This record gives sequence, structure tokens and C-alpha cells, in this order.
Amino acid sequence: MSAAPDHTPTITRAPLRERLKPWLPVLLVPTLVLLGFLAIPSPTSWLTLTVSGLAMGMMIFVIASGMTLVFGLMDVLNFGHGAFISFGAFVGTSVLLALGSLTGAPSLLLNLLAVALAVLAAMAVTGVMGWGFERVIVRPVYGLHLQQILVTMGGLIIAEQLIYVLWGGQEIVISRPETLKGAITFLGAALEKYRLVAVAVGLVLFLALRAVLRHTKLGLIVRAGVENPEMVQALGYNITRVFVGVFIAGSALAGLGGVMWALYQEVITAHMGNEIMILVFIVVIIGGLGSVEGCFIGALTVGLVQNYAAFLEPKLALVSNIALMVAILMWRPMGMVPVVKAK
Amino acid sequence: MSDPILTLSGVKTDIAQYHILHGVDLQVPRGGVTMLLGRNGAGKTTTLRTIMGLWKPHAGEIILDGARIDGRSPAQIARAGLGFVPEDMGIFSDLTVEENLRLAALSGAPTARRLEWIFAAFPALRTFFHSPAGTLSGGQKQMLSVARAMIEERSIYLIDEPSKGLAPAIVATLAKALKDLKARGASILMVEQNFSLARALGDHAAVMDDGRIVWAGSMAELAQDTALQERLMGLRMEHA
Repeated sequence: MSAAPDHTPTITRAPLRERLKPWLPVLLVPTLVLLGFLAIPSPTSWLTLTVSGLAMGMMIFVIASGMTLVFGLMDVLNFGHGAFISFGAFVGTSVLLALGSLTGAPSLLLNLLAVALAVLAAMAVTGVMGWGFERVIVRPVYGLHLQQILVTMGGLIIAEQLIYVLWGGQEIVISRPETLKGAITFLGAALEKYRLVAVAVGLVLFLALRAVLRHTKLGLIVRAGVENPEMVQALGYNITRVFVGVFIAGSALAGLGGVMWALYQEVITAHMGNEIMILVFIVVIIGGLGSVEGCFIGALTVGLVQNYAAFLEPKLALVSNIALMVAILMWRPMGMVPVVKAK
Repeated sequence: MSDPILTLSGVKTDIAQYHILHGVDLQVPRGGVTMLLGRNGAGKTTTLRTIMGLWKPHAGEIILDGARIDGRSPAQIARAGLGFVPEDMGIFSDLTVEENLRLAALSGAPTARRLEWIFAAFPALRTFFHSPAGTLSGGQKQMLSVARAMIEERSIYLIDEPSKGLAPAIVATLAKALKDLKARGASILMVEQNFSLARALGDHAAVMDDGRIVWAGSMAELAQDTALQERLMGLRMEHA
């Protein structure tokens, strides 16, 4: 064997078009906002709709982020994810109704305390539910997509029936805490206070999730596991334990999303989770299965399109997000931020 | 053989309905490079993956440093002291070179000294340290895969065809790094189809055929006996 020659790498700068390519999805949201500004005649209506769309997108992101990681990490299609949204909403609402003295007080601090307690209770219950769901329902069908769809749909139906047993069949009306009611006026536009809070919560959650995934060892394991779980195990990490942790966290986030959605709609039903799942699936698919960043961009896009379309052409609102999904998949068949999977 | 680091006794592995390993008996000496050779489909990769716990044997025993490991999970086996370089390299394309190496360091992060040693062996990894591993060339990915296994001391390194599909210059770089690893007293079990590389690196050899070890001995003995090579592996040295 001859001596090793120097294998000095050379670095060439890619053309601008190639360098911009990964960033194009990031530009989608501002582009959409700009298009909305041009299409909507009144700037105040545009501002109201934009905040509303962002708030809706953030709530969908909270719900969808766990689901995309669960799919990416273990290739599990969990159609039962909606159960955690509904359960989170019912548990959170029950806590808020029980804390009427706090939610009715004209104090932001007391109101936020009540919401925080409701969110904690909802996340704890849905987290435990997620643990049980993974052990009993999902674990026996790893790698079997058809069975996953059937069995998780079954889990969803059981969970909905359990809600009827525990809370009755009637929808429950919940009003927002006192200081989160109403709107503030900004540049002549009425912006609902709750929607601004939802935007802030979603943004904080996205940044926190991103920081965990980018800057911690656990995040490295999850990101590597999404791409090649077998190799992660061969490096010494128990990927099953990581997956259970992600499943629990994803379920708890769906519970948080359920509370946020309940306060957004101000009415809850047993099948509310199932109803929102169509948007969640669209977000997970167009974002790129397993990508939190893609999920975030996808959720904001879906929220904005839904709100702009409902204002500009109400009849198109129902199909706007399906059309959006088709358009994005034609542009990027693997989603906006595709995750590389080991073959 | 006195005090082998790794011993396989009667290991049988099935993949789906196929019987791949029919009772592998192999002893890997402590220190030095043991080459696992054989024709395509002989069961070499299956043997490494079975040792790693990625495929479960249905019979036999695998003993690492006196402790039985065949019933353990891949993660437990890796933590028992096995470094693994798979045939497909197993690089995480979305992670940077630095993140790939950090992930492999079970103690938390690689030491500066170890990193310098790796950079000396593979200068390209220093250059592309903060680049996504998916942007590396095939050869650089193989370097990263080997570097990842070498990021910490391991009891034994399992390396599956590191030269596969690579240009001679890159194979030479890898060979130099593996020689350096061997000089530090490491134990290596390596699958290799490139016989000249196997001969240059190997101290011991085991030849597989049809899911069994059919010959084991010193690499020098195998390298000198062209008739034996032809009989065991269908190799003719003038073409190798």
C-alpha cells in the first residue's frame, strides 16, 4: 500500500440560486403576508386577519410539532393525536371553570395563573395518556402503517367516548379569563388580546423547541433518530426510550394546544380534536415529515391562507388549505423542509 | 488463542425466512486487526450486525471481554465498548460533522486531544467541521464514519468494508488512520473485499462461506498461500 497522498479538500461557493434554495420556504410566510396586504383592500382588516392567521397557525403548530417528531422518529402514523387535543381541552376547561374566582378577577396575574394551572393539568393528563397510548396501542404495530391507522383511529374513538362518559354529550361553553377578553386597537385595527397571547406562546414554544433540538444532546439524539434510528442505537442510545419521551411530550403539547384552541373557540366538544386534525395533517405533510422548522412554517402558512381566503372568498375557505397542500407538494414533493431518511 | 477480546460460538441468525448464519465460531484476539473475508453473501455483514445486536441471533453465544452480550440491545452493546462503522456509513446528513462526532462521544463531548488526532488523520473533517455531513463527498463521509467510531476508546471496533466504492487516494488515507488506531493497541474486526488492503492491515484472518467460518489463521499465512485464497475466496492474487 503506497503512502497516503494529501487529500486536501477544496471549497467552491455554490451559485446564489443554490444557496437561496433552502431559505425559500422561510420567505413563504412574509410573501404571503405581502400578498394579503395587496389583495385585502383595507389595511386594518389585513392587520386583523394577519394576527388572527398567525394565532391560528401558532396553535396548529403547538399541536402538530409533537406529531411530526413522532412520525419522523418512529415512522408512526398516529391518527389518535386528536384525542389528546380534545382531552386537553376538557381537562383545561374543567380546571378553568373550577377556578372561576381567578378567571373572573380583573387581574392579569390571577388570570394567567388560572390559565397556567389549566395548561399544566391538561399537559399532565395528556402526557400520561400519551404514555399509555404508546405502550398499549402503538407499540404492537411499529412498522405496520395500515394497522397503525386502524388501531390509532380506534384509540381516538374510545377516547371520544370516554369524554362523553366523563363530561356528558353536550358541548361546553367556556369564556376567556377577564383580562384576555376584548381587543386592543393598533394602527386602527382591532386585535384580540387572546390572539396576541397565542402568537406569543407559539413563538416562545417554537424557539424553545428549536433550542432543545439544536443545542442539547437530547436534541441531537432526536434529530439523528429521525434520520436513522438504527445508527443512533448502534452509537449507544436507547432510541425506544427517546421515542416514548417524544411521544409523551408530543401528547402533552397536543393537550396544551387543546386548551389554547378551547379558549380560541370558546366552546368545546368531544370531537373538536378530530376536526382540527385535517389541518394538522396538512401542516405536518407540507412542512416535511419530521421537521419542526417545516412544521412551524407550514402552520403559519395554513393559518394565514385560511384567514385570508375566508375574508376574500368565503366559499374558497374550505378548499384553500387543500389547494395550498397540492401547490406546495408540487413545488417540494418532500415538504418545505425535507428530512433526510436513511434508506 | 489466549484471552480473546470477542468470541462467537455457534451463532445462528435468520433474517425473515432466510437462514444467514449457520453457526459462526470466531475468536478475535485482543489487539491487532482481524480481517473477516469471504465471497459476497457469505454472511460477513450479518456477522457484524449480529455482534452489534442489530439482528438477534436465535442460537449461540457472543462474549465480549468475558461478558455475554448476545441478549442485549444495540445501545447496551455499544456502551459495553463496541465502536461500529456500518457498510452504509450511517452518517447523519442533517447534522454537521461536529454534531456527528459529538453524538458519538458517549462521555458528553470529544476531548480536544482526540479531535486533534482525528483531524491529523482526516484533515477534511477539520475543514468541514461545521458543515452538514450531507454535503460531504463519499470519501469524506467514510472518513467521518470511521472518525465517529474512533472518537473515544472502545474495546473493539467493528468496521464493515471501509474501502467500498472509494478512490485509491481516499482508501490510502483510511488505511493510514486505521494503522494508527492499530498502533495504539486497538482491537479491530474488519470486513473487507479489497484483499490488498486486507493484507496490508490485517494481523489475523477468518474466511466465511455460507454463513460459517471455514478458515481462520494469520493473515501472513493466507497472504502467502494463493491456492488457499483461491479455494476459500475465489481470489487470484495476480488480479487482486
